[in-house]
Amino acid sequence: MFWGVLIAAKPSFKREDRNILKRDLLPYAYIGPHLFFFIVFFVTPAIYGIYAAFTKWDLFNEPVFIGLDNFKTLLFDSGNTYYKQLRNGLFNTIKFVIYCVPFCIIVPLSLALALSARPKGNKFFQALYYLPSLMSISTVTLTWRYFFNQDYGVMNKFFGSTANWFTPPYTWVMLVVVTVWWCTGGTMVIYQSALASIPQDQYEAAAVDGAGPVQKFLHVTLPNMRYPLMYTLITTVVAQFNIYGQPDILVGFNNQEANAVLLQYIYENSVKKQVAGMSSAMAVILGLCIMAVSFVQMRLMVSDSKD
Amino acid sequence: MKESKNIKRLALLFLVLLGLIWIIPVIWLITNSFKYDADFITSFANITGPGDYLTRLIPRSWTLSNYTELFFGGENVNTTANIGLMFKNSFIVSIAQTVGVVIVTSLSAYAYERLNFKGGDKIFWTLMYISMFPNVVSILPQFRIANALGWVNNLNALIWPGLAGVFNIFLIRNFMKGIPKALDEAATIDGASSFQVYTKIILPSIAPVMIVVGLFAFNGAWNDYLWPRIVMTDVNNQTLTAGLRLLMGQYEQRWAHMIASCIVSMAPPFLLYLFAQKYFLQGISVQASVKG
Repeated sequence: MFWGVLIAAKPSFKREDRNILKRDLLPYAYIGPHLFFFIVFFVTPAIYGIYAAFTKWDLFNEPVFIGLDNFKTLLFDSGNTYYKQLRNGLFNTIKFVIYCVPFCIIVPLSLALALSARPKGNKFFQALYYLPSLMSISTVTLTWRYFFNQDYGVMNKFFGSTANWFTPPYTWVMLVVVTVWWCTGGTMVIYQSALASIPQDQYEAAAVDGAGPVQKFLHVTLPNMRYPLMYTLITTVVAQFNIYGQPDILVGFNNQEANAVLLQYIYENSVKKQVAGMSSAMAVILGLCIMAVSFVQMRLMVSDSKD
Repeated sequence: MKESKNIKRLALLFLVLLGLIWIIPVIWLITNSFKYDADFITSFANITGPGDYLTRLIPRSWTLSNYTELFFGGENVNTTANIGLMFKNSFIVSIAQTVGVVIVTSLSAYAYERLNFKGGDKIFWTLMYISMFPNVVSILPQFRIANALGWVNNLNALIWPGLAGVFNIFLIRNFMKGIPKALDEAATIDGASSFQVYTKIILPSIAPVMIVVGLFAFNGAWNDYLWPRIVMTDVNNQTLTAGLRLLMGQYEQRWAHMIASCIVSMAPPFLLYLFAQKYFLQGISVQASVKG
Protein backbone atom coordinates (compact mmCIF):
# COMPACT_ATOMS: atom_id res chain seq x y z
CA MET A 1 0.00 0.00 0.00
CA PHE A 2 2.73 2.47 0.93
CA TRP A 3 4.75 1.62 -2.17
CA GLY A 4 1.61 2.32 -4.11
CA VAL A 5 1.48 5.84 -2.74
CA LEU A 6 5.05 6.50 -3.81
CA ILE A 7 4.49 5.15 -7.28
CA ALA A 8 1.25 6.99 -7.71
CA ALA A 9 3.01 10.25 -6.93
CA LYS A 10 5.39 9.78 -9.85
CA PRO A 11 4.18 11.78 -12.84
CA SER A 12 6.05 9.62 -15.37
CA PHE A 13 3.34 6.91 -15.36
CA LYS A 14 0.81 6.56 -18.12
CA ARG A 15 -2.67 7.87 -17.51
CA GLU A 16 -4.37 4.45 -17.46
CA ASP A 17 -1.87 3.13 -14.95
CA ARG A 18 -2.50 6.08 -12.71
CA ASN A 19 -6.23 5.50 -12.90
CA ILE A 20 -5.83 1.86 -11.96
CA LEU A 21 -3.63 2.80 -9.03
CA LYS A 22 -6.10 5.47 -7.99
CA ARG A 23 -8.89 2.92 -8.10
CA ASP A 24 -6.88 0.48 -5.99
CA LEU A 25 -5.96 3.04 -3.37
CA LEU A 26 -9.27 4.83 -3.18
CA PRO A 27 -10.95 2.38 -0.74
CA TYR A 28 -8.22 3.09 1.80
CA ALA A 29 -9.20 6.73 1.82
CA TYR A 30 -12.70 5.66 2.92
CA ILE A 31 -11.65 3.19 5.59
CA GLY A 32 -8.64 5.29 6.61
CA PRO A 33 -10.30 7.57 9.18
CA HIS A 34 -11.82 4.64 11.07
CA LEU A 35 -8.61 2.62 10.87
CA PHE A 36 -6.74 5.59 12.31
CA PHE A 37 -9.01 5.86 15.35
CA PHE A 38 -9.06 2.08 15.73
CA ILE A 39 -5.28 1.84 15.77
CA VAL A 40 -4.71 4.83 18.04
CA PHE A 41 -7.47 4.20 20.59
CA PHE A 42 -7.95 0.44 20.45
CA VAL A 43 -4.94 -1.46 19.12
CA THR A 44 -2.19 0.65 20.70
CA PRO A 45 -3.61 0.60 24.24
CA ALA A 46 -4.34 -3.12 23.91
CA ILE A 47 -0.75 -3.89 22.92
CA TYR A 48 0.54 -1.65 25.70
CA GLY A 49 -1.78 -3.45 28.11
CA ILE A 50 -0.44 -6.84 27.06
CA TYR A 51 3.13 -5.58 27.44
CA ALA A 52 2.26 -4.23 30.91
CA ALA A 53 1.29 -7.76 31.96
CA PHE A 54 4.98 -8.67 31.76
CA THR A 55 6.10 -5.74 33.89
CA LYS A 56 6.08 -4.30 37.36
CA TRP A 57 4.20 -1.04 37.00
CA ASP A 58 2.79 1.51 39.44
CA LEU A 59 0.85 3.50 36.78
CA PHE A 60 2.99 6.62 37.17
CA ASN A 61 6.56 5.57 36.39
CA GLU A 62 7.81 3.56 33.44
CA PRO A 63 6.91 -0.14 33.65
CA VAL A 64 9.86 -2.43 34.41
CA PHE A 65 10.03 -5.65 32.38
CA ILE A 66 10.03 -8.75 34.60
CA GLY A 67 9.18 -11.52 32.13
CA LEU A 68 6.68 -14.13 33.16
CA ASP A 69 6.82 -13.39 36.90
CA ASN A 70 3.27 -12.04 37.13
CA PHE A 71 1.86 -15.06 35.38
CA LYS A 72 3.94 -17.44 37.51
CA THR A 73 2.52 -15.83 40.66
CA LEU A 74 -1.03 -15.83 39.35
CA LEU A 75 -1.05 -19.38 38.11
CA PHE A 76 1.23 -21.33 40.44
CA ASP A 77 1.96 -19.48 43.71
CA SER A 78 -0.93 -20.90 45.71
CA GLY A 79 -0.12 -18.94 48.89
CA ASN A 80 -0.28 -15.57 47.14
CA THR A 81 -3.21 -13.14 47.47
CA TYR A 82 -3.32 -12.49 43.73
CA TYR A 83 -3.43 -16.23 43.03
CA LYS A 84 -6.49 -16.50 45.26
CA GLN A 85 -8.05 -13.38 43.74
CA LEU A 86 -7.67 -14.71 40.22
CA ARG A 87 -9.23 -18.06 41.09
CA ASN A 88 -12.10 -16.53 43.06
CA GLY A 89 -12.71 -13.72 40.57
CA LEU A 90 -12.59 -15.91 37.50
CA PHE A 91 -14.75 -18.55 39.16
CA ASN A 92 -17.39 -15.94 40.08
CA THR A 93 -17.27 -14.36 36.63
CA ILE A 94 -17.84 -17.71 34.91
CA LYS A 95 -20.59 -18.54 37.39
CA PHE A 96 -22.26 -15.25 36.54
CA VAL A 97 -21.96 -15.87 32.78
CA ILE A 98 -23.53 -19.33 33.18
CA TYR A 99 -26.41 -18.01 35.31
CA CYS A 100 -27.04 -14.96 33.19
CA VAL A 101 -26.59 -15.81 29.53
CA PRO A 102 -29.52 -18.27 29.14
CA PHE A 103 -31.93 -15.64 30.51
CA CYS A 104 -30.34 -12.91 28.39
CA ILE A 105 -31.25 -14.96 25.31
CA ILE A 106 -34.56 -16.61 26.27
CA VAL A 107 -36.29 -13.55 27.74
CA PRO A 108 -35.66 -11.28 24.70
CA LEU A 109 -36.51 -14.13 22.32
CA SER A 110 -39.87 -14.82 23.94
CA LEU A 111 -40.62 -11.09 24.08
CA ALA A 112 -39.77 -10.68 20.40
CA LEU A 113 -42.01 -13.65 19.55
CA ALA A 114 -44.85 -12.15 21.59
CA LEU A 115 -44.40 -8.76 19.93
CA SER A 116 -44.33 -10.34 16.46
CA ALA A 117 -47.88 -11.60 17.05
CA ARG A 118 -48.76 -7.87 16.91
CA PRO A 119 -50.99 -7.67 19.97
CA LYS A 120 -52.52 -4.37 21.13
CA GLY A 121 -50.05 -1.82 22.44
CA ASN A 122 -47.20 -3.28 20.41
CA LYS A 123 -45.27 -0.01 20.16
CA PHE A 124 -45.74 0.78 23.84
CA PHE A 125 -44.38 -2.58 24.95
CA GLN A 126 -41.41 -2.30 22.64
CA ALA A 127 -40.53 1.08 24.12
CA LEU A 128 -41.09 -0.20 27.68
CA TYR A 129 -38.81 -3.21 27.29
CA TYR A 130 -36.19 -1.10 25.55
CA LEU A 131 -36.23 1.64 28.19
CA PRO A 132 -33.61 0.14 30.55
CA SER A 133 -31.14 -0.17 27.66
CA LEU A 134 -31.19 3.62 27.51
CA MET A 135 -30.10 3.92 31.12
CA SER A 136 -26.56 4.09 32.44
CA ILE A 137 -25.28 1.43 34.80
CA SER A 138 -25.44 3.85 37.72
CA THR A 139 -29.12 4.65 37.12
CA VAL A 140 -30.01 0.98 36.67
CA THR A 141 -28.34 -0.15 39.86
CA LEU A 142 -29.69 2.78 41.84
CA THR A 143 -33.20 1.97 40.65
CA TRP A 144 -32.89 -1.59 41.87
CA ARG A 145 -31.33 -0.59 45.14
CA TYR A 146 -34.51 1.36 45.81
CA PHE A 147 -36.69 -1.43 44.47
CA PHE A 148 -35.23 -4.06 46.79
CA ASN A 149 -34.64 -1.80 49.79
CA GLN A 150 -35.62 -3.40 53.07
CA ASP A 151 -37.31 -0.30 54.46
CA TYR A 152 -39.23 1.07 51.51
CA GLY A 153 -38.68 -1.26 48.53
CA VAL A 154 -41.45 -2.99 46.60
CA MET A 155 -40.08 -6.48 47.24
CA ASN A 156 -40.18 -6.18 50.99
CA LYS A 157 -43.10 -3.86 51.58
CA PHE A 158 -45.44 -4.90 48.77
CA PHE A 159 -44.70 -8.60 48.41
CA GLY A 160 -43.95 -8.98 52.11
CA SER A 161 -40.46 -10.45 51.81
CA THR A 162 -38.33 -10.07 54.92
CA ALA A 163 -35.04 -10.84 53.25
CA ASN A 164 -32.14 -8.47 52.82
CA TRP A 165 -31.66 -8.87 49.09
CA PHE A 166 -28.14 -7.52 49.13
CA THR A 167 -26.66 -10.37 51.15
CA PRO A 168 -26.06 -14.00 50.11
CA PRO A 169 -27.71 -16.17 48.97
CA TYR A 170 -29.90 -13.55 47.26
CA THR A 171 -27.10 -11.54 45.69
CA TRP A 172 -26.80 -13.86 42.70
CA VAL A 173 -30.54 -13.61 42.05
CA MET A 174 -30.28 -9.83 42.21
CA LEU A 175 -27.33 -9.70 39.83
CA VAL A 176 -29.08 -11.88 37.26
CA VAL A 177 -32.43 -10.04 37.50
CA VAL A 178 -30.82 -6.62 37.16
CA THR A 179 -28.59 -7.69 34.28
CA VAL A 180 -31.46 -9.28 32.36
CA TRP A 181 -33.60 -6.19 32.98
CA TRP A 182 -30.84 -3.97 31.65
CA CYS A 183 -29.76 -6.03 28.62
CA THR A 184 -33.02 -7.42 27.28
CA GLY A 185 -34.00 -4.47 25.07
CA GLY A 186 -30.93 -4.45 22.86
CA THR A 187 -31.13 -8.17 22.07
CA MET A 188 -34.90 -8.05 21.67
CA VAL A 189 -34.82 -5.52 18.82
CA ILE A 190 -32.30 -7.67 16.94
CA TYR A 191 -34.65 -10.67 17.23
CA GLN A 192 -37.66 -8.56 16.28
CA SER A 193 -35.98 -7.41 13.12
CA ALA A 194 -34.87 -10.96 12.29
CA LEU A 195 -38.40 -12.30 12.85
CA ALA A 196 -39.85 -9.61 10.61
CA SER A 197 -37.55 -10.59 7.76
CA ILE A 198 -38.59 -14.28 7.68
CA PRO A 199 -40.51 -14.78 4.41
CA GLN A 200 -44.21 -15.28 5.09
CA ASP A 201 -44.57 -17.95 2.40
CA GLN A 202 -42.44 -20.32 4.50
CA TYR A 203 -45.08 -20.12 7.24
CA GLU A 204 -47.84 -20.58 4.70
CA ALA A 205 -46.14 -23.63 3.23
CA ALA A 206 -45.77 -25.07 6.74
CA ALA A 207 -49.45 -24.38 7.42
CA VAL A 208 -50.41 -26.24 4.24
CA ASP A 209 -48.41 -29.19 5.52
CA GLY A 210 -50.51 -29.04 8.67
CA ALA A 211 -47.89 -27.63 11.04
CA GLY A 212 -49.11 -26.17 14.35
CA PRO A 213 -47.56 -23.14 16.12
CA VAL A 214 -44.91 -25.24 17.87
CA GLN A 215 -43.84 -27.00 14.68
CA LYS A 216 -43.78 -23.69 12.81
CA PHE A 217 -41.50 -22.31 15.51
CA LEU A 218 -39.17 -25.32 15.40
CA HIS A 219 -39.05 -25.80 11.64
CA VAL A 220 -39.44 -22.28 10.23
CA THR A 221 -38.62 -19.69 12.89
CA LEU A 222 -35.60 -21.27 14.56
CA PRO A 223 -33.68 -22.19 11.37
CA ASN A 224 -34.18 -18.66 10.08
CA MET A 225 -32.98 -17.23 13.38
CA ARG A 226 -29.78 -19.27 13.45
CA TYR A 227 -27.50 -16.38 12.53
CA PRO A 228 -28.96 -13.67 14.81
CA LEU A 229 -29.10 -16.16 17.68
CA MET A 230 -25.47 -17.04 17.23
CA TYR A 231 -24.49 -13.41 16.90
CA THR A 232 -26.32 -12.33 20.06
CA LEU A 233 -24.92 -15.32 21.92
CA ILE A 234 -21.38 -14.15 21.19
CA THR A 235 -22.02 -10.52 22.09
CA THR A 236 -23.89 -11.50 25.26
CA VAL A 237 -21.17 -13.87 26.45
CA VAL A 238 -18.50 -11.23 25.81
CA ALA A 239 -20.55 -8.53 27.53
CA GLN A 240 -21.28 -10.66 30.61
CA PHE A 241 -17.64 -11.73 30.95
CA ASN A 242 -16.97 -8.02 31.32
CA ILE A 243 -19.36 -7.69 34.26
CA TYR A 244 -18.25 -5.01 36.66
CA GLY A 245 -20.82 -2.33 37.49
CA GLN A 246 -23.63 -4.50 38.81
CA PRO A 247 -21.77 -6.22 41.67
CA ASP A 248 -19.69 -3.10 42.34
CA ILE A 249 -22.60 -0.75 42.93
CA LEU A 250 -25.31 -3.20 44.00
CA VAL A 251 -23.46 -5.38 46.44
CA GLY A 252 -20.31 -3.42 47.14
CA PHE A 253 -16.82 -4.83 47.01
CA ASN A 254 -15.23 -5.06 50.38
CA ASN A 255 -17.89 -7.00 52.22
CA GLN A 256 -18.77 -9.42 49.46
CA GLU A 257 -15.89 -11.71 48.60
CA ALA A 258 -18.47 -14.31 47.55
CA ASN A 259 -19.60 -12.14 44.64
CA ALA A 260 -16.36 -10.43 43.70
CA VAL A 261 -15.81 -10.78 39.96
CA LEU A 262 -12.43 -10.59 38.27
CA LEU A 263 -12.90 -7.09 36.90
CA GLN A 264 -13.46 -5.75 40.40
CA TYR A 265 -10.11 -7.17 41.51
CA ILE A 266 -8.47 -5.76 38.39
CA TYR A 267 -9.91 -2.31 39.01
CA GLU A 268 -9.10 -2.33 42.74
CA ASN A 269 -5.54 -3.52 42.19
CA SER A 270 -4.73 -1.16 39.36
CA VAL A 271 -6.52 2.12 39.99
CA LYS A 272 -6.65 2.03 43.78
CA LYS A 273 -3.55 0.03 44.76
CA GLN A 274 -1.37 0.82 41.74
CA VAL A 275 -0.22 -2.74 41.15
CA ALA A 276 -0.95 -2.25 37.48
CA GLY A 277 1.42 -4.87 36.08
CA MET A 278 -0.21 -7.67 38.06
CA SER A 279 -3.71 -6.47 37.20
CA SER A 280 -2.77 -6.27 33.52
CA ALA A 281 -1.73 -9.92 33.74
CA MET A 282 -5.12 -10.74 35.27
CA ALA A 283 -6.81 -8.79 32.51
CA VAL A 284 -4.86 -10.66 29.84
CA ILE A 285 -5.96 -13.98 31.35
CA LEU A 286 -9.58 -12.78 31.35
CA GLY A 287 -9.12 -11.59 27.78
CA LEU A 288 -7.80 -14.98 26.70
CA CYS A 289 -10.85 -16.66 28.23
CA ILE A 290 -13.20 -14.31 26.40
CA MET A 291 -11.40 -14.70 23.10
CA ALA A 292 -11.31 -18.49 23.42
CA VAL A 293 -15.06 -18.56 23.94
CA SER A 294 -15.89 -16.14 21.16
CA PHE A 295 -13.37 -17.45 18.67
CA VAL A 296 -15.24 -20.65 17.84
CA GLN A 297 -18.57 -18.88 17.46
CA MET A 298 -17.00 -16.09 15.45
CA ARG A 299 -15.53 -18.59 12.99
CA LEU A 300 -18.95 -20.07 12.42
CA MET A 301 -20.25 -16.59 11.68
CA VAL A 302 -17.55 -15.73 9.17
CA SER A 303 -17.99 -18.98 7.24
CA ASP A 304 -21.71 -18.31 7.33
CA SER A 305 -21.50 -14.85 5.79
CA LYS A 306 -19.26 -16.06 2.97
CA ASP A 307 -21.82 -18.59 1.73
CA MET B 1 -58.30 -16.79 12.24
CA LYS B 2 -59.41 -18.05 15.64
CA GLU B 3 -55.99 -19.50 16.27
CA SER B 4 -54.24 -16.22 15.57
CA LYS B 5 -56.64 -14.36 17.87
CA ASN B 6 -55.79 -16.70 20.72
CA ILE B 7 -52.11 -16.27 20.02
CA LYS B 8 -52.54 -12.51 20.14
CA ARG B 9 -54.27 -12.75 23.52
CA LEU B 10 -51.61 -15.05 24.89
CA ALA B 11 -48.89 -12.73 23.63
CA LEU B 12 -50.55 -9.73 25.24
CA LEU B 13 -50.93 -11.54 28.56
CA PHE B 14 -47.25 -12.46 28.53
CA LEU B 15 -46.18 -8.92 27.64
CA VAL B 16 -48.32 -7.42 30.42
CA LEU B 17 -47.18 -9.83 33.12
CA LEU B 18 -43.49 -9.53 32.39
CA GLY B 19 -43.97 -5.82 31.71
CA LEU B 20 -44.83 -5.27 35.38
CA ILE B 21 -41.19 -5.97 36.27
CA TRP B 22 -40.18 -3.39 33.70
CA ILE B 23 -42.64 -0.65 34.53
CA ILE B 24 -42.98 -0.77 38.32
CA PRO B 25 -39.41 0.41 39.07
CA VAL B 26 -39.85 3.24 36.59
CA ILE B 27 -43.18 4.38 38.03
CA TRP B 28 -41.67 4.08 41.49
CA LEU B 29 -38.86 6.43 40.50
CA ILE B 30 -41.16 8.95 38.86
CA THR B 31 -43.72 9.34 41.66
CA ASN B 32 -41.08 9.40 44.38
CA SER B 33 -39.17 12.14 42.59
CA PHE B 34 -42.04 14.52 43.43
CA LYS B 35 -41.86 13.92 47.17
CA TYR B 36 -40.06 16.20 49.62
CA ASP B 37 -36.88 14.66 51.01
CA ALA B 38 -38.35 14.86 54.48
CA ASP B 39 -41.46 12.98 53.41
CA PHE B 40 -39.61 10.21 51.64
CA ILE B 41 -38.77 7.97 54.61
CA THR B 42 -41.79 8.85 56.72
CA SER B 43 -44.09 8.14 53.78
CA PHE B 44 -43.14 4.47 54.05
CA ALA B 45 -43.61 4.17 57.83
CA ASN B 46 -46.05 1.67 59.37
CA ILE B 47 -47.27 0.07 56.20
CA THR B 48 -50.22 -2.23 56.83
CA GLY B 49 -50.31 -4.18 53.59
CA PRO B 50 -49.69 -4.32 49.87
CA GLY B 51 -52.63 -2.01 49.04
CA ASP B 52 -51.47 0.49 51.61
CA TYR B 53 -47.99 0.39 50.12
CA LEU B 54 -49.28 1.45 46.72
CA THR B 55 -51.01 4.50 48.14
CA ARG B 56 -47.75 5.52 49.82
CA LEU B 57 -46.09 5.81 46.42
CA ILE B 58 -48.20 8.86 45.68
CA PRO B 59 -46.71 11.95 47.31
CA ARG B 60 -48.82 13.50 50.10
CA SER B 61 -47.66 16.88 48.96
CA TRP B 62 -46.20 17.24 45.50
CA THR B 63 -43.15 19.34 44.77
CA LEU B 64 -41.05 20.24 41.78
CA SER B 65 -38.22 21.48 43.98
CA ASN B 66 -36.15 18.31 43.48
CA TYR B 67 -35.92 19.19 39.81
CA THR B 68 -35.60 22.97 40.00
CA GLU B 69 -32.95 22.83 42.72
CA LEU B 70 -30.80 20.57 40.57
CA PHE B 71 -30.39 23.39 38.09
CA PHE B 72 -30.82 26.54 40.11
CA GLY B 73 -29.62 25.53 43.56
CA GLY B 74 -31.72 26.26 46.62
CA GLU B 75 -31.86 26.21 50.36
CA ASN B 76 -29.38 23.76 51.89
CA VAL B 77 -28.24 22.64 48.48
CA ASN B 78 -24.51 22.70 48.16
CA THR B 79 -23.84 23.18 44.48
CA THR B 80 -20.17 22.31 44.18
CA ALA B 81 -21.14 19.89 41.43
CA ASN B 82 -22.83 22.05 38.86
CA ILE B 83 -25.34 19.86 37.12
CA GLY B 84 -25.98 22.46 34.42
CA LEU B 85 -22.33 22.36 33.45
CA MET B 86 -22.31 18.56 33.49
CA PHE B 87 -25.34 18.61 31.23
CA LYS B 88 -23.54 20.87 28.80
CA ASN B 89 -20.47 18.62 28.81
CA SER B 90 -22.59 15.55 28.21
CA PHE B 91 -24.30 17.20 25.25
CA ILE B 92 -21.06 18.40 23.68
CA VAL B 93 -19.43 14.99 24.03
CA SER B 94 -22.45 12.98 22.89
CA ILE B 95 -23.31 15.14 19.89
CA ALA B 96 -19.71 15.43 18.68
CA GLN B 97 -19.19 11.70 19.02
CA THR B 98 -22.46 10.93 17.24
CA VAL B 99 -21.57 13.13 14.27
CA GLY B 100 -18.08 11.64 14.12
CA VAL B 101 -19.32 8.05 14.33
CA VAL B 102 -21.96 8.57 11.65
CA ILE B 103 -19.43 10.00 9.18
CA VAL B 104 -16.56 7.61 9.87
CA THR B 105 -18.58 4.38 10.04
CA SER B 106 -20.71 5.03 6.97
CA LEU B 107 -17.61 5.81 4.89
CA SER B 108 -15.96 2.59 6.08
CA ALA B 109 -19.00 0.41 5.61
CA TYR B 110 -19.44 1.78 2.08
CA ALA B 111 -15.87 0.87 1.15
CA TYR B 112 -16.01 -2.62 2.68
CA GLU B 113 -19.37 -3.44 1.19
CA ARG B 114 -19.34 -1.75 -2.21
CA LEU B 115 -15.84 -0.93 -3.41
CA ASN B 116 -14.81 -4.62 -3.56
CA PHE B 117 -11.16 -4.01 -2.95
CA LYS B 118 -8.57 -6.69 -2.46
CA GLY B 119 -8.27 -7.80 1.16
CA GLY B 120 -11.15 -5.59 2.25
CA ASP B 121 -13.14 -8.42 3.76
CA LYS B 122 -10.02 -9.76 5.47
CA ILE B 123 -9.31 -6.37 7.03
CA PHE B 124 -12.89 -6.04 8.20
CA TRP B 125 -13.09 -9.45 9.88
CA THR B 126 -9.66 -8.94 11.44
CA LEU B 127 -11.02 -5.76 13.02
CA MET B 128 -14.08 -7.68 14.23
CA TYR B 129 -11.84 -10.28 15.90
CA ILE B 130 -9.58 -7.69 17.49
CA SER B 131 -12.54 -5.70 18.77
CA MET B 132 -13.53 -8.71 20.91
CA PHE B 133 -10.44 -8.00 22.97
CA PRO B 134 -11.64 -6.89 26.40
CA ASN B 135 -11.45 -3.23 27.19
CA VAL B 136 -10.04 -3.88 30.66
CA VAL B 137 -6.55 -4.55 29.39
CA SER B 138 -6.44 -1.26 27.58
CA ILE B 139 -8.17 1.20 29.86
CA LEU B 140 -5.02 2.07 31.83
CA PRO B 141 -2.87 2.53 28.70
CA GLN B 142 -5.72 4.60 27.26
CA PHE B 143 -5.21 6.96 30.15
CA ARG B 144 -1.51 7.17 29.28
CA ILE B 145 -2.36 8.04 25.69
CA ALA B 146 -4.87 10.67 26.79
CA ASN B 147 -2.21 12.04 29.09
CA ALA B 148 0.38 12.15 26.30
CA LEU B 149 -2.08 14.07 24.11
CA GLY B 150 -2.76 16.52 26.92
CA TRP B 151 -6.37 15.35 27.10
CA VAL B 152 -6.71 14.67 30.80
CA ASN B 153 -9.55 16.94 31.90
CA ASN B 154 -10.26 17.75 28.28
CA LEU B 155 -13.51 16.80 26.55
CA ASN B 156 -11.54 15.53 23.53
CA ALA B 157 -10.64 12.47 25.60
CA LEU B 158 -14.32 11.55 25.79
CA ILE B 159 -15.13 12.24 22.12
CA TRP B 160 -12.53 10.62 19.87
CA PRO B 161 -11.91 7.15 21.33
CA GLY B 162 -15.58 6.37 20.66
CA LEU B 163 -14.88 6.48 16.93
CA ALA B 164 -12.87 3.27 17.11
CA GLY B 165 -15.89 0.92 17.36
CA VAL B 166 -16.41 -1.79 14.74
CA PHE B 167 -19.90 -3.04 15.58
CA ASN B 168 -21.68 -0.14 13.86
CA ILE B 169 -19.82 -0.77 10.60
CA PHE B 170 -21.06 -4.35 10.77
CA LEU B 171 -24.66 -3.14 11.21
CA ILE B 172 -24.43 -0.70 8.29
CA ARG B 173 -22.82 -3.31 6.03
CA ASN B 174 -25.65 -5.70 6.72
CA PHE B 175 -28.19 -3.03 5.90
CA MET B 176 -26.37 -2.11 2.68
CA LYS B 177 -26.67 -5.68 1.42
CA GLY B 178 -30.36 -4.95 0.94
CA ILE B 179 -29.74 -2.01 -1.43
CA PRO B 180 -29.57 -3.11 -5.09
CA LYS B 181 -26.07 -2.82 -6.56
CA ALA B 182 -27.66 -1.85 -9.88
CA LEU B 183 -28.23 1.63 -8.44
CA ASP B 184 -24.50 2.20 -7.90
CA GLU B 185 -23.64 0.75 -11.27
CA ALA B 186 -26.11 2.91 -13.15
CA ALA B 187 -24.77 6.01 -11.45
CA THR B 188 -21.17 5.00 -12.20
CA ILE B 189 -22.01 4.57 -15.88
CA ASP B 190 -23.54 8.04 -15.82
CA GLY B 191 -20.12 9.28 -14.73
CA ALA B 192 -20.61 9.61 -10.98
CA SER B 193 -17.46 9.25 -8.88
CA SER B 194 -17.44 6.78 -6.01
CA PHE B 195 -17.83 9.65 -3.57
CA GLN B 196 -20.87 10.93 -5.45
CA VAL B 197 -22.37 7.43 -5.34
CA TYR B 198 -21.79 7.52 -1.58
CA THR B 199 -23.42 10.91 -1.00
CA LYS B 200 -26.21 10.74 -3.60
CA ILE B 201 -27.25 7.07 -3.52
CA ILE B 202 -25.90 5.21 -0.50
CA LEU B 203 -26.38 7.79 2.26
CA PRO B 204 -30.05 8.48 1.51
CA SER B 205 -30.85 4.76 1.31
CA ILE B 206 -29.10 3.82 4.55
CA ALA B 207 -30.80 6.60 6.56
CA PRO B 208 -32.75 4.14 8.79
CA VAL B 209 -29.66 2.27 9.96
CA MET B 210 -27.74 5.54 10.36
CA ILE B 211 -30.44 6.83 12.70
CA VAL B 212 -30.08 3.68 14.79
CA VAL B 213 -26.28 3.95 14.74
CA GLY B 214 -26.63 7.60 15.75
CA LEU B 215 -28.80 6.63 18.70
CA PHE B 216 -26.32 3.93 19.76
CA ALA B 217 -23.45 6.41 19.55
CA PHE B 218 -25.29 9.13 21.47
CA ASN B 219 -26.49 6.68 24.08
CA GLY B 220 -23.06 5.11 24.48
CA ALA B 221 -21.35 8.45 24.94
CA TRP B 222 -24.07 9.75 27.24
CA ASN B 223 -24.05 6.69 29.50
CA ASP B 224 -20.33 5.98 29.63
CA TYR B 225 -19.39 5.67 33.26
CA LEU B 226 -15.93 4.29 33.91
CA TRP B 227 -13.84 6.22 31.38
CA PRO B 228 -15.04 9.74 32.31
CA ARG B 229 -14.42 8.90 35.96
CA ILE B 230 -10.83 7.97 35.18
CA VAL B 231 -9.90 10.72 32.75
CA MET B 232 -11.88 13.71 34.12
CA THR B 233 -10.38 14.60 37.45
CA ASP B 234 -11.97 18.05 37.69
CA VAL B 235 -15.68 18.15 38.63
CA ASN B 236 -16.39 20.95 36.19
CA ASN B 237 -15.34 18.81 33.23
CA GLN B 238 -17.39 15.81 34.27
CA THR B 239 -20.30 14.38 32.29
CA LEU B 240 -23.69 13.87 33.87
CA THR B 241 -23.64 10.07 34.08
CA ALA B 242 -20.28 9.92 35.82
CA GLY B 243 -21.15 13.03 37.83
CA LEU B 244 -24.24 11.39 39.34
CA ARG B 245 -21.83 9.54 41.56
CA LEU B 246 -20.69 12.88 42.98
CA LEU B 247 -24.27 13.96 43.45
CA MET B 248 -24.88 10.77 45.43
CA GLY B 249 -22.26 11.90 47.91
CA GLN B 250 -23.60 15.43 47.92
CA TYR B 251 -27.23 14.39 48.29
CA GLU B 252 -26.65 11.79 50.95
CA GLN B 253 -29.91 11.18 52.77
CA ARG B 254 -31.68 13.30 50.14
CA TRP B 255 -33.35 10.47 48.30
CA ALA B 256 -35.88 12.48 46.34
CA HIS B 257 -33.15 14.75 44.94
CA MET B 258 -31.16 11.72 43.95
CA ILE B 259 -34.11 10.12 42.17
CA ALA B 260 -34.90 13.34 40.32
CA SER B 261 -31.34 13.61 39.07
CA CYS B 262 -31.53 10.03 37.79
CA ILE B 263 -34.64 10.86 35.82
CA VAL B 264 -33.11 14.02 34.40
CA SER B 265 -30.06 12.06 33.24
CA MET B 266 -32.30 9.50 31.51
CA ALA B 267 -34.38 12.05 29.62
CA PRO B 268 -32.21 12.91 26.56
CA PRO B 269 -31.54 9.31 25.41
CA PHE B 270 -35.20 8.49 25.95
CA LEU B 271 -36.45 11.42 23.86
CA LEU B 272 -34.03 10.47 21.11
CA TYR B 273 -35.29 6.89 21.25
CA LEU B 274 -38.90 7.99 20.80
CA PHE B 275 -37.82 9.79 17.64
CA ALA B 276 -35.81 6.81 16.36
CA GLN B 277 -38.22 4.04 17.32
CA LYS B 278 -39.92 3.66 13.96
CA TYR B 279 -36.58 3.11 12.23
CA PHE B 280 -35.45 0.51 14.71
CA LEU B 281 -36.69 -2.71 13.19
CA GLN B 282 -35.68 -1.63 9.71
CA GLY B 283 -32.26 -0.54 10.84
CA ILE B 284 -31.06 -3.38 13.03
CA SER B 285 -30.32 -6.45 11.04
CA VAL B 286 -27.58 -8.94 11.68
CA GLN B 287 -28.94 -11.42 9.15
CA ALA B 288 -26.32 -12.80 6.83
CA SER B 289 -28.93 -13.99 4.37
CA VAL B 290 -30.22 -10.56 3.34
CA LYS B 291 -28.54 -9.96 0.02
CA GLY B 292 -29.21 -7.49 -2.75
